[in-house]
Amino acid sequence: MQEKIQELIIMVLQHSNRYQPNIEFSALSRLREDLGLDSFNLAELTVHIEEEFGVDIFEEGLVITLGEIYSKLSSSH
Amino acid sequence: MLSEELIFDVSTNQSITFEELMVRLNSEAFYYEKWCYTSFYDFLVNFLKALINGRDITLLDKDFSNEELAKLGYSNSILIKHTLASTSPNITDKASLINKLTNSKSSVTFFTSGTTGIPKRIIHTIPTLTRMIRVGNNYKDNVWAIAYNPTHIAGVQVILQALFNGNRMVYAFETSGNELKRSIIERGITHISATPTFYRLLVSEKTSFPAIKRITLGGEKSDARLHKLLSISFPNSKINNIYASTELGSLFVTDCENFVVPASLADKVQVMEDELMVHSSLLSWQIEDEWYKTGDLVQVINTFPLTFKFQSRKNEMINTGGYKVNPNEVEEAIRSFKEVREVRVFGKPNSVLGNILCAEIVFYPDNHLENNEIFSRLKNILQEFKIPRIIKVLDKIEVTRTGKLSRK
Repeated sequence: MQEKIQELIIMVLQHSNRYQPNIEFSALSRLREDLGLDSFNLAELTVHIEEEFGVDIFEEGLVITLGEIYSKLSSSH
Repeated sequence: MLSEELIFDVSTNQSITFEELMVRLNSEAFYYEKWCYTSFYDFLVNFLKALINGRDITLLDKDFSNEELAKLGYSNSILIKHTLASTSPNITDKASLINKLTNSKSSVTFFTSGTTGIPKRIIHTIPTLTRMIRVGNNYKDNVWAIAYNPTHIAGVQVILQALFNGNRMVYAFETSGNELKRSIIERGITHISATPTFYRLLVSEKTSFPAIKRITLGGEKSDARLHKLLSISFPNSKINNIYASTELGSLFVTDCENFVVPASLADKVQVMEDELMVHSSLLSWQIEDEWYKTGDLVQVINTFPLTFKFQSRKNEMINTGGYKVNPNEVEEAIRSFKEVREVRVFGKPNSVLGNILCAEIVFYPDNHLENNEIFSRLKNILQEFKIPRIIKVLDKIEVTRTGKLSRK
């Protein structure tokens, strides 16, 4: 699941020309500051994650780090 | 014999003569005031029976579900049947039918389909419905394609334009592009009136219909690329763009994107805060305010004579992350790619942005663009917030009952 999320983040960044090949993922990576996702990227990411896993990760409010996405998805399954 | 045919229904291959229509109009002493009709011919017979007998009628789509009818305030039992006078209306020829129609005191109730929201009830009379209708010798050999929903005002106006000139009508609203292409040749269609969406699904740079003399567009924003494609596909045709709405009927006509307000309407039309306003005297019903807000956002090209270009419906604007996006502008940008046959842009509720911009795209056969290519091309022509984030490739795009792109 973690790999799939990372794939989706890369795809979203590529869509808006924001992808940096040296990107590093860790549970502590902040979606905005560290991974470079803006609000439009986050919105797109939620749609793709919801299609893949059936969970709207932002439904209950702000998500800051990649680890928070992982835990939301694992707690829902 | 084809020459005697008055109606041809492409979906059922049914052919009706004027004499057959006359028999039904003279002999059936009833009509349905409210009815989800079954076939175009039956719809037309019922509509004309109401009009020539001076009775009021409400036009309902044939495929309304019970839930949709309930929203309009109707129960499931919508077959409201009335008996008509036992004396025959005595329609003996086309002239007597036209005479009865011209003098009809009937009211006709429509429901605006809208691209969003709940349908609104709008009542018209024969004078408002026939305001733009032209009659004369020049029109007598026209053959019309009925490409609008017949229960909507644009469809009724085409039907009346054809009937008032005794023209053959080819009902093509529920048919595929290919069936219509065949009918244009086989039934000798010369005139088509339809939405820009309808034409986009019909024409390409490789199609050519030299027999068509006039095509009319209305109900949605058209753009320069479509006009160019239309001039290729209809090389001998005049192209009219009509400004019309269910509330107002047809008001302005142009051969391009810019509408010039004629001198006769100069003091009855104005633009305030980008919205087109029309004087209440042009409406078929009473309103409290002197000016009626059309809900159409326009760009003023010239102030005298007032000349404007349609931009979008006010309620079509999509709010995404606090930005207002006009879906027509985005569709126009995507349509500028030669691979794209049709596109629909709409907002989808999203927990981050309120709405996320989505696009559905249909490519021409043997054409395709990867999403990344679409995104990167759009970056050159649109601000970033106007770029759809979710793009889906489809074979066909959903349209509303009026044949417009759905914004849902």
